[in-house]
Amino acid sequence: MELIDIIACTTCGKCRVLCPVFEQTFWESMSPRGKVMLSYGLEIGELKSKDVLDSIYKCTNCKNCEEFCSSNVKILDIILNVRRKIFDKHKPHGKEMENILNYNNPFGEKKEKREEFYIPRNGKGKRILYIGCVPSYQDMKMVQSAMKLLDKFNIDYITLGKEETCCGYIAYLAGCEKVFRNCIGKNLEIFEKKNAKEIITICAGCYRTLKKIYKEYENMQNYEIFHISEYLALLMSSKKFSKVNGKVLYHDPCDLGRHMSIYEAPREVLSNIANLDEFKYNRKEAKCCGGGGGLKSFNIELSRKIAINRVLEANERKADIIATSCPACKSNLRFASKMVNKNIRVMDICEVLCMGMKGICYSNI
Amino acid sequence: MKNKIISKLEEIVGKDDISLNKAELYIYGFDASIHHHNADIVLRPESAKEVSEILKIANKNSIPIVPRGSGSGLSGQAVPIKGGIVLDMTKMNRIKKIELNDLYCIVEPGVVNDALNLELSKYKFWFPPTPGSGAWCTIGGMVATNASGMKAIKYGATRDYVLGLEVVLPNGKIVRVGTKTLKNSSGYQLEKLFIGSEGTLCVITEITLRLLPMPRSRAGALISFSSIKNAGEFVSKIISFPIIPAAIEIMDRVCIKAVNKTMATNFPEDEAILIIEVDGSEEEVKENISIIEKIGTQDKIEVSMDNNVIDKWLDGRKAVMPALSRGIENTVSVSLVDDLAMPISKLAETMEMIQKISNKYGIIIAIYGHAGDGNLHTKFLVDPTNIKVWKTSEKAIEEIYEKVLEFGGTVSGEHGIGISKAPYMQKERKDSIEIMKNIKAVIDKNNIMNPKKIFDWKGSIINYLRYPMK
Repeated sequence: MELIDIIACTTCGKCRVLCPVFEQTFWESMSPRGKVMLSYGLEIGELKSKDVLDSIYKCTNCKNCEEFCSSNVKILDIILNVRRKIFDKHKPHGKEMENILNYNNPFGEKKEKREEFYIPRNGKGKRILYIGCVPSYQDMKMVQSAMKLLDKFNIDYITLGKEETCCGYIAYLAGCEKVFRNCIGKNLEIFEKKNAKEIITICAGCYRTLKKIYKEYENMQNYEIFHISEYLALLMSSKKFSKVNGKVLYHDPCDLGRHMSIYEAPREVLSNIANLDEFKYNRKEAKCCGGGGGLKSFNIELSRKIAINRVLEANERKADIIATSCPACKSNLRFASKMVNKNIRVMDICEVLCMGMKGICYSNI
Repeated sequence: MKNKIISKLEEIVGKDDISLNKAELYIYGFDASIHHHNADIVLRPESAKEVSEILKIANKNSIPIVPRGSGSGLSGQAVPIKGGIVLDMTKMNRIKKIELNDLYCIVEPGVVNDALNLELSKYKFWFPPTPGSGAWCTIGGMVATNASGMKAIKYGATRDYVLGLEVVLPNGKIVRVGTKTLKNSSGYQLEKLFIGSEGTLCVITEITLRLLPMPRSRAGALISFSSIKNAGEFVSKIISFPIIPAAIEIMDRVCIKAVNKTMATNFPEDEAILIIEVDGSEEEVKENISIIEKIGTQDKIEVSMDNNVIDKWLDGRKAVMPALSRGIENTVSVSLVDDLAMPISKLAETMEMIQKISNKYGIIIAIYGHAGDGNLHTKFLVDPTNIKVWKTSEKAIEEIYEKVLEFGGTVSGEHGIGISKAPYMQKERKDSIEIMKNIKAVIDKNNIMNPKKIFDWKGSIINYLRYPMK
């Protein structure tokens, strides 16, 4: 990152418009241009790391600012660069980093617990269903639905169970290179050990990490990475599903949408079984759920305010179900729906699809 | 600032709306201009009463006050050159009243231009001034700088829509000036005095704006030219026909390439393009666009009645300023000269003159703007960390302004003076400076309101620069 990449920002203020953090705080230091200028202040020695810490970590990495910036300023790279510079001094996600190193997950949970939600498919195999830490430890329904769907379509796969290791996304976002590289190493080792060729993720964050970010560090050409929505979109026509009642709104996770340009696959899946409608802000313009960028663990209150804002949008559209394809989005929006309108159910697209499968009912989700 | 004063200020706005945080003080030292200076304290008032209480304290203790909207100004108006209190007015963002029977609305200064127009569009009304920054700039900032934008040729500037204001004077007194009526010959038009005063006289806390019904129909034309001179002359041909379009926007080759690169607009990469918008009744629009087509038979012209196409062209034009920042490798765009307003007949000559000076000094100067009303924007594409570049640029600026005044133009059409144009405005308005100073002295005895701006600035503009120098 050169200084000219930072001063290319004209501080015009356009990025204030769609920033979810600025929308909640209204302080200039919380706007994307504010963060770029803080990075500049740090770079030229006007500011110290402690001065910029709070603002720099209050970002959801949603990428709305970059999409909107006519100067093509790489705002997220600038923020990440600062996080990498200051992480060791302040260790803002320190406990999670320790947990990843010691337990292979950011929650400090035992590895055996990964297998409590599902019966692992052990052995070797060319296709891995990569569950991810949040579904593994916190979202049984998401894991079970994904597995049931792949079974329904007769897709062979293995799971890693207690051998699974965090993809390291949170370490990457926090700017903790040491832990992130450690995660890359462990994951590539297990992929190789299992003779894997294809990896299917059910988490948008894992997908972005394995498919895009790992490539910045290692050669990933031996592996094809899919998000489960891409897989399902290809398979949908081969099976019949019954229609799900109610209006479904699809929430684009930033990691899958703006970061990976996957907008249509989840919609194709849902439109087969549901009365699918759109948020006012959708696809490239979708508002963030507040759960990304490490914000949820850095400042949960702010993260939840952003989620409430998104659910209010769904409430205006009279949605019955918010479907998404990211466990972090699901968790944050689910909390917000309880605050805004308890009748709005928040589900992963796999769960919605399972509702349309004969003999499976998730009405208690 | 003394702790006792800080405590009093905190009592007024509450602990959530005061900041002494080092990062915040640094960030509130920027706007979209080339200048920077840290604030001493940032306050976010939510009412005229709070502003009044703050100003009383500031006045008593001679603390500078710098009101600020979205910080989108290009001349340094919101940069707290002497430190002091920055008043972030964006929390005062209510649309208080829309009175269609009397053709006015009342808003607080922090209302964003596009947000107001979105609300007005529900009733098929609008507030016509359309700055490129309309999606984020505030009405308060627009009043303080007399902003206008693309539609000024037909619809005028902010000044033409302000019927009345509520302002807080430096001594804390809340006063109402102007009216809610469409006509007003009742004494001095003090509301007009405060428009364009750039925070040097008062803090604006409420604005009564005249409204217009939205035009029913529109059409657009995109015309490309083999020389910038031809583009300038084309503008005169349209206006003297006579047709007054809603907008006539110009972009030179540098701007076209920059926008095509960042926005994929696919504008023809000729020497210059004009984007013309006509509006009105369907019949009027069709007639005017066909006349423009006929005038433009010698040139490459594309006409559209499709709103999406017209908006795409205009969005491309609005993106010029930031797009230039990545237009040429190892340079960034800086706002210098940037807001000339010329007699329309002098447009072609002025653009040629700028190109000559650009070649003479070896500095890339991009030209774009609201050609329809003679308002040209320029950006210098330079390495702003090189002091030699600034010295050379300053010579180029001086030469450009000398010619501008010779041609009968003015140094600012819509951005205001702030710091970046101060020395040149002082030359242009030498007969008025004394009067301006006297007015300021009467209203702001202690010179707390946005000091060191407009006529109060001394010396070169290459001071308080935001860039580090090599």
